[in-house]
Amino acid sequence: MTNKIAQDWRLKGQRYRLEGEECPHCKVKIFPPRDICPECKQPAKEPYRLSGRGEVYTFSTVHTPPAGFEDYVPYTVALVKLEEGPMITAQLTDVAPEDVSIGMPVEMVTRRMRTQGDEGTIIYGYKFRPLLHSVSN
Amino acid sequence: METGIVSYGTAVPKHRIEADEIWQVWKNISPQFFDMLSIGERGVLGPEEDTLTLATAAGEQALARAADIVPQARIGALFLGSGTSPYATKAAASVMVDTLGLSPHVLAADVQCAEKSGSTALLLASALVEAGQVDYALVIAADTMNRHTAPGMVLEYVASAGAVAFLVGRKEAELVARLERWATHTWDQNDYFRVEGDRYIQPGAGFYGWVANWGLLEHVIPAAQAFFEQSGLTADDFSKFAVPQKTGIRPLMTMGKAGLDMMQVLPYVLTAQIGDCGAASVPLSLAHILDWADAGERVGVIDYGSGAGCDMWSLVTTALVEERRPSSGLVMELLDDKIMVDYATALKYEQKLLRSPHQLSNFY
Repeated sequence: MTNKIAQDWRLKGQRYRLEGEECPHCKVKIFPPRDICPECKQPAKEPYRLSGRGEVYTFSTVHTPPAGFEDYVPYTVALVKLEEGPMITAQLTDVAPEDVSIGMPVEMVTRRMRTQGDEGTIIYGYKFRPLLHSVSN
Repeated sequence: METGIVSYGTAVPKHRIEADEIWQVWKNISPQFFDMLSIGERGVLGPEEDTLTLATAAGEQALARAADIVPQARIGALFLGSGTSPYATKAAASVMVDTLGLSPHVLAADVQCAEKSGSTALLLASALVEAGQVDYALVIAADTMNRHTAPGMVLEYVASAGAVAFLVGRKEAELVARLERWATHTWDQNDYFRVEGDRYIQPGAGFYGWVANWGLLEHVIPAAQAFFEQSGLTADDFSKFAVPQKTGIRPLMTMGKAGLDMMQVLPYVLTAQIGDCGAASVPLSLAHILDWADAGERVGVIDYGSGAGCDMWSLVTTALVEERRPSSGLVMELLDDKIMVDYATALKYEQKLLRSPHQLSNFY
């Protein structure tokens, strides 16, 4: 896999800390950062660190992964509705696919996203796990 | 010393395996040793977990628990104590400055001194804080012994992972426990080691028998003697101890040789529940003690790094340990929150299976 040095550096705020933006005009929270508010179309460049708490809006389980994700199969990808409003796509972790449900409370956790083959660095980023004791095992 | 712990946080892998599940495959130890060595369950590293992810989780919890009194901008140092950093060259602590969202002006470094890496890092950080060089320092002890233990090695029954973070400060009104004093003993002796380029830890002196614990004793005894001589304290002055607990025999040996009482030690040994968390092992025991401590208790910490050294330090809890007691995420809660896996899954998760470099092309 090709090293994406500049891209990885540019995205580290959002990958590591869920750093989005807050619109100074209508106070909407924006993730991923896009510098223009999707609600009021005004410039929005104020960094805002999201809490990382939310709930599963919907989900699907992956058994045949793209390259670089083979170690995690089977894994669940969810649309997570964050407390502050934004909806983001992320892998779920620390939960068996059969235990995932819509509305399940989750929290962000930093994990390895993938490794860049034998010669690249380790890419870390956000995944979501069930809140403590929200799943009965 | 005029420093202490403002807050702490912990993390362990959610996946666990029973020792018996491993034994069914290898049968390389008599099961009677399981009780003798307090071998029960150990943590299994998830496929996307490593020392850095566990350390980040513990660090986030410690920061969150102090968020009302410590602005993150005033944290001046970040030390990651670990013998299993994901990078051999490059500081994992530097990545954590970003994952935790700290100021880029913090002094960050990985500290390595075998399983006492976290203890060493805490003493270094405490000196910086006490000297007034920084206001607060975040110290994280973390290890992934399970990823670095070969299949079929007896250590596999206990090799686990975990992370414990301590936010160190010096304002008396913010401390849940005040650090009192420390002593150490360091010299070169053969015990568990890993040579550069190797993935798996090797036992320098075996897993069981007296020789296996020779390194422990030759470090713990002189460290404890030095501590008691320098401090004028005796074991009776302490209410609880966090001691080395790679296997259940080590707390017993430490207890006997340092003159500690059984009830000061054994309730805080977590080996049977989580195994050997490496650098996080003794700190996890300390976090468990702090979870339930009353104000004014003197707690002893004896942390041994294989063949590398032993630190002994003491701290005294303050009234804040009760007032600011965490309402959730206690160590016992983390240990109870688990998904049991079988041995094949553990091997897959810990990336110990030989695989085709062309997995996808088998089908497409």
